[in-house]
Amino acid sequence: MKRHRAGSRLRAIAFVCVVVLAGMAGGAGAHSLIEAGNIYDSGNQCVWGFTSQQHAYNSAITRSLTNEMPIFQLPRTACAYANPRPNGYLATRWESLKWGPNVGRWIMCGTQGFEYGGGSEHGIGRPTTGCGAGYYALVGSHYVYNGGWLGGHLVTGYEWLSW
Amino acid sequence: MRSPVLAGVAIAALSVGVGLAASRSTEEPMHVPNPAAEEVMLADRFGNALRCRGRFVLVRRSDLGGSVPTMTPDQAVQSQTRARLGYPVATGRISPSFEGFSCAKNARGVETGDVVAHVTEPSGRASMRTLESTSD
Repeated sequence: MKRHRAGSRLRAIAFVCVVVLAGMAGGAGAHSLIEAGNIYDSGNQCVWGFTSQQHAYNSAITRSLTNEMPIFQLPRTACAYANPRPNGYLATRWESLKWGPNVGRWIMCGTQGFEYGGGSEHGIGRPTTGCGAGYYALVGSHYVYNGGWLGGHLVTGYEWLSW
Repeated sequence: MRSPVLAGVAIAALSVGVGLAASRSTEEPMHVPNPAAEEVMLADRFGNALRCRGRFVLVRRSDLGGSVPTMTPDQAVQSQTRARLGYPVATGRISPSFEGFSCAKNARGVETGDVVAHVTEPSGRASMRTLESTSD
């Protein structure tokens, strides 16, 4: 009976240790910062963006969309159809920011400058080594040219990453 | 005899967990990033805000590529064409990537107050660029 109680206690303590260690490792394990959605909508021209940091890979995707079905003139549906543009008309970038607790502001960890493409979708991405443990957020910038650059930024939520 | 030891281990584990949680909560961001801000601080190699000559360094976001496209589509296509012709391996990229910042030093090894950025050029080649600090 005594041995049984000691065994239960041992299992309970082991469980607590595993939970604590799992919590500590949580930041380094599977993590993802993702934000997606329409950034600009004027009816005929919509700009949709996707910004993400997943498993030490930062990426951003820009889509050029429209309300109007190009061929069959089906009913208008908000930002539902691809709106292909010539090469150079889609622009995408991202920047990775880390919270600097000693300065109370976001500090730049790394950035991939604007790249340009065409069609209805343009994506960029590259691996990142991060800047040590801390809270991170990713900013994606998504633009489509239509007489001027239309679009804006997506900012993900922040998450603790231990790298 | 075993119980006090196990209890000690449990208390230690809980202390680490509580300590870690406390350290995270005190460091938690107070606001979301503002991508439209014209200036930005940089992370040093330890992940802290970079300090040169004893001061936190600010640089212009435009020196890091900016947050709004600066080229017209025609200019972008011309740059892509030049990049394809000029680089031994076509990457399709025309803008540099920045990751890693440190203090610029003069020939005597004294910090100038400006910043050296570690850059991956569109060609894929690693290089360094000096960024002017806008700190007072």
